Amino acid sequence: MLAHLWMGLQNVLMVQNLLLIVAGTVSGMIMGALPGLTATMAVALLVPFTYTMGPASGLALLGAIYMGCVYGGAFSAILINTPGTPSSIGTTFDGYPMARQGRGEEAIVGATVGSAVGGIFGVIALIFLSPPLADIALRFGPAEYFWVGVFGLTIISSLSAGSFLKGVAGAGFGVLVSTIGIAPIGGDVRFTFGSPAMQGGVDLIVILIGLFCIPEVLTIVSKGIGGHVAVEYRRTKGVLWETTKKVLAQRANLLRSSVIGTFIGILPGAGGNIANLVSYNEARRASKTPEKFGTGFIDGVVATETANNAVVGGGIIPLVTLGIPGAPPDAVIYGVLMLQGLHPGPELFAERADITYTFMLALGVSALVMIPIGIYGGRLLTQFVSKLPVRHLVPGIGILTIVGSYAIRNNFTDVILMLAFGVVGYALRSLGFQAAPIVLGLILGPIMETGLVQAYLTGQAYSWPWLALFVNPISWILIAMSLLSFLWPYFGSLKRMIRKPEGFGSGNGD
Amino acid sequence: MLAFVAALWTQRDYMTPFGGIFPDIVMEITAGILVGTLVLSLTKYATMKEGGEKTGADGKTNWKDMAVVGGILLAWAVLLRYLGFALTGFLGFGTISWYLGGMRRDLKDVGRCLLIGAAIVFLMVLVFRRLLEVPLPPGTLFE
Repeated sequence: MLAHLWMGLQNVLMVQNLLLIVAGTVSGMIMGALPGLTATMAVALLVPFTYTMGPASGLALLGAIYMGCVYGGAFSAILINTPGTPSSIGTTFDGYPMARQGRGEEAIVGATVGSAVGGIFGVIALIFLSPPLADIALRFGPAEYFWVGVFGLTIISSLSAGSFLKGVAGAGFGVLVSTIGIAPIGGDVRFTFGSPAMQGGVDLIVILIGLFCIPEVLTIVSKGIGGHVAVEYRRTKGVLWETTKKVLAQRANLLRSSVIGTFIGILPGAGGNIANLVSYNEARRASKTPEKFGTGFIDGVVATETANNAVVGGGIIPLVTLGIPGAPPDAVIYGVLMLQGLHPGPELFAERADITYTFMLALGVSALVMIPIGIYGGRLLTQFVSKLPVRHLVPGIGILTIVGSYAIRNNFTDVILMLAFGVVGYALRSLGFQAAPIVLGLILGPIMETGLVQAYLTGQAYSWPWLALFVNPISWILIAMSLLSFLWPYFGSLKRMIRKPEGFGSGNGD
Repeated sequence: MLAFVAALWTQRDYMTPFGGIFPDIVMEITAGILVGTLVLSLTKYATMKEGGEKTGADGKTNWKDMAVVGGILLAWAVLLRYLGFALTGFLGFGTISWYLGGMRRDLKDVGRCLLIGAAIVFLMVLVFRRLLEVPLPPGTLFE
């Protein structure tokens, strides 16, 4: 592993990759600071820039965009009282009051240091937890991959906002869309409605762009995001160093928030939107002065921003080891991995370790690069965000979605499909169906089908072929976890019926 | 969604025994859940559950603007094959920008929208075609 880390470090420090990381971080911060745009959307929109790059450079750019976007949301949250991304909802609770009290710079510095610490912690967890998990994945057979898929779908359904049943139905919809085209086993051509263009199936990135970008565009058109007035802040001598010392002294808060963010990132489908609020809650519970939270207390800003950036590294752990995206932006990164011919799993750490470790270290470098850019460029960023008119933003996003969906296969049908999925995604969201379960269904569908059919074929040796799904102890553990995540929302409802309901809803995820 | 599942069900025509094992199971489960949610949504119980998208602060959704912008995007996608990226991008950007700006019949405003559109499209062509070597459609009319 050390040799691979060293190779990855050398790749990351190449001028070309460093420039891409800086460009990605800045682009991500701009997208993250724009209210209404999510990290998933930012990563999906900027994917076309990676199509002709080498895998290491392309993944480094996307990772930097993701890391920058999650951090960028803090600026709007603090200065405009509108979270730039759902990951920064909790940052508004204390960040905006701080800005109103004339302590905007202190809040920005606190968010910056917290984000950097959280981001680096997540990357360290990614580097050290992924290889052993990839080794465990070597013991997975077809049945285990099937149950991993089932577990992924049940947990994201239970974590998504709104109805659990709608989450499961959304996942089923995603799985069915993934069956369009040629079957992975047997080669049946399915559900093409007689159209040769559909034989290749529907490309994942096309659907992601449609599901995550077009509904947001329609929402921006409908509700607008303009007219935000940012609280001005000026850099004051001494605030940077004093605040940095104050934040770094909060070791317990930083560690707890980093762990929460990394763990929530590992859970399939759960993202920064959940992590920042859970972390804020826990920081308040653990604090000796909980009454200060919500009044302009820097501990609150540190808790949320540390957790949401730790999600970045944590979410990539199940992605690179099992092929299950931990958070919605990881689904886009999964699509890019497929485009580049890289398959998640032990192969990434054995045969393509140079690319894998370059990608991981690029995330860490991005977390460090955020510090000077955020502190010295933050004011410019906020001025740009608050002045950008919706009338230019919307068609700009339109151009990127069209380029992004066309350029994958140079196929005009993909552009139409992207728009169709966008309209469908908007309609489904209006009816309470979230995009995240649909996307996970799309990704896990082929994995589950291959696992199920292969298990069935190997089970011909048993008296009942389906027994092959239940014979391995790893399968039992996965079945138990799936049942637990399936039944968990009902335990929650039962508890709520007994006592007064409380809690917050989570968003669509970023 | 139920209609989609029904449409797929009518397309079931598998050549091998394995082609339909998985999709059939998923279709049956998904249809069952969708019927269940439909029934629940028609009963009083549905009022206790969280619903769908919240609209703006005033509770209203601007359907007209959404329909117009959606229509322009669709026209943009359909004409892409014939007119190419540069021309459709220029027209699409300019039209959406002018529409969302209030459709002012002011030559200066129209000119500004088209100029910004031209600049953005030029930048995209420069970056994608020249720098990244990602092909963008030239349009059948110009081939």
